[in-house]
Amino acid sequence: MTASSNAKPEMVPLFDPKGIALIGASANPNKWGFRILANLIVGGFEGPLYPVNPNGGEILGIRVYPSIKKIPPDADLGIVTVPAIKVCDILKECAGIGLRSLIIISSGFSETGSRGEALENELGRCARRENMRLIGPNTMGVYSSKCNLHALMPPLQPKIGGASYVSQSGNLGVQMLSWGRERGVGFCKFVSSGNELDLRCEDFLEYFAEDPESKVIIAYIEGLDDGIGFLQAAGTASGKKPVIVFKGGKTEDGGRAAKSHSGALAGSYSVYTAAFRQSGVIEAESTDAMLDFTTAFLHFPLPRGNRIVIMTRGGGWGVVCADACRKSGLRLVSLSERIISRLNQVLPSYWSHGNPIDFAATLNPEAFPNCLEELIKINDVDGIIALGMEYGDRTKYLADKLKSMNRLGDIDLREERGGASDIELALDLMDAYQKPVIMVSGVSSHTKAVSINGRETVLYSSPENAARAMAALWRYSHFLLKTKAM
Amino acid sequence: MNIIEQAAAKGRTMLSEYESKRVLEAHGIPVTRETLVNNLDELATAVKEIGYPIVLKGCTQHTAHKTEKGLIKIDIRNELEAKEAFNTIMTNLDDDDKSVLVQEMVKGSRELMAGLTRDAQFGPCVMFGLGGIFAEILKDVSFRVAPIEKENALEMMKEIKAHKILSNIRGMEAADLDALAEILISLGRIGLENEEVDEIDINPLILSGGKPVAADALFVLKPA
Repeated sequence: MTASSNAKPEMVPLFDPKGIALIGASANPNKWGFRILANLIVGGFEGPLYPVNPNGGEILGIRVYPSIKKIPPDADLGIVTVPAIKVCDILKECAGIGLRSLIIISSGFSETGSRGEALENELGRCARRENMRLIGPNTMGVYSSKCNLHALMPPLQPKIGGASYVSQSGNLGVQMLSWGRERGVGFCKFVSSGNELDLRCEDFLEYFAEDPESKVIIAYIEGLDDGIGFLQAAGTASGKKPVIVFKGGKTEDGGRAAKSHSGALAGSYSVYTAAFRQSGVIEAESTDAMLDFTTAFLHFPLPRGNRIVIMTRGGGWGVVCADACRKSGLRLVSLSERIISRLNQVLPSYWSHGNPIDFAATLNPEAFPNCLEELIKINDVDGIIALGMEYGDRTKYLADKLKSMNRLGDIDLREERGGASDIELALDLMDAYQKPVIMVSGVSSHTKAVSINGRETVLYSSPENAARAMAALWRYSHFLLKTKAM
Repeated sequence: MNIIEQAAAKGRTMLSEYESKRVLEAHGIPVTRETLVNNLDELATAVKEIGYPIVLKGCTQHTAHKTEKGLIKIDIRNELEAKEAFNTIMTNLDDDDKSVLVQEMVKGSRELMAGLTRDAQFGPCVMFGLGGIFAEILKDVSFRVAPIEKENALEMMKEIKAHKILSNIRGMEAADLDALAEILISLGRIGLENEEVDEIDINPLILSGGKPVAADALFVLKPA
């Protein structure tokens, strides 16, 4: 069903339940009915848990209820793990006690063929008749940080934060929630939307858009039943917060036999890309990009324009970064005579005298902070990419080795360039000027979160990734400026 | 019943160039001046009205590939060439109801393309791109889901790699972006208002000076 205006209250028990019935709970550790209960317990859900199994007894120290009818009335969410063939009857029993929100983990529905599809259609009819809200079937589950809800098949310990994520794939859910920790992407809500029999991707977009805890929305999609519905939900959500989408299965789009150029070329271009651009959605072309963009939106202010300066410790990185910027629609600011003469005072005489600003391997620790302070003030600069942070790690290796070889003596070999104080300065300046300073590590092979005196930011791994993230920030900022102007 | 409905009712899956352009014209899209003729007398009258140079095209509802079938003669500059071209096209046409389209030869070296396709997920989608003989080779196109607004249309133009072709390059006039946007908006509207239309091609959409003119067009209808 498509989202209605009252979709929001209906969503509450799915992400913030008071009590949970686990129908199909099992004492067998190789059943999902056991694993999910274990995840709920370990995750620390604070409300009551009501496992349901005809055998009764106890599982993991929790009393088991022999039938749905016996569940106390404070359960407002049901998690169903029974075999597909039994799900419809379970749904009716739940409706009988007023339980109207279900997460259906059970698989064996439309994803398996025509028999499963018939079961799913029947389940859909039952759900509509009983006015139920369903996630799934064939879902990996739901996570919600607010109430420590780990209604999930795999045990995951996502970092808590501002991202809310709907995924049409369970695997990509596990991947994002796991990788997010080291990349600075914290989650407040996650849903694996499964077969989307009732609630679809666009319903969750709409819900996340209204949810004050969700700061950035992420979606992984493979197919849409209602493209226009998605477009509308994504467009509305984009007006409120960034929506990042990764579309899988794009290469199959060209399957249609067309008689015209318009028809034939639609496949090679992908109408999805057009739809995303139209609705302000930031399209990510990989799982990596999806996390890189999300962490950018979580950590940096939006640039007000696309005029960028690059600070680099060496020529090659600057060149590569400049190429990546131009390719993704960013512009390199040309430096005025006045700025050049000011930078002359803080940089060695042999600096590049242009943008990218190449420090040309100076060891002077003052070059970076002084230069950054000069640049961020400039009105024509909307954002800064600073290449080569964390160089101290390499020098530390050198110092340690020399020490172990007894050659260092009392020489104080240390490296301050790109270290904690530089990163902290960048954070202060970002706060003061509300312009993004995207920093790139000189030593890390993946985007990673760093914490300086309790303040978290993120360092990118390559000039290209940094440029791509800056461009994503700019695309969204541009969309907001454009829609406000209209 | 309009042209589209009539053709669909007869189970046809394509409109001829002449019919296609009448639909475009009715939606305010500028098309070449042209008239249909069935014999040499009508040809002479038409030529007098349109003036050389002209283009002659076999008018058919059965093929989208007129060039390959020898049904197009361009840059015809006199009566002798006109008669010869007319006779050749009539011979090459295999329709029962033969006629030839006499068309002004639009001057302009920039050939664009605009169109519509119906996407399974998103419904009618408007296309813009580089046209003419480069259409298939460079595949330099952009799409938007209908309905589109002027803002979307302008973005589509900016999005193609060859977008600079629309500016005042090499002494040519800058393209009339408003007129181009109107065309794209209208195409989206045609798609939304006519369920029977599956695909539309305007190719080439020639820039005459800076003004776009549909020099050829094709409507593909849904199979009954």
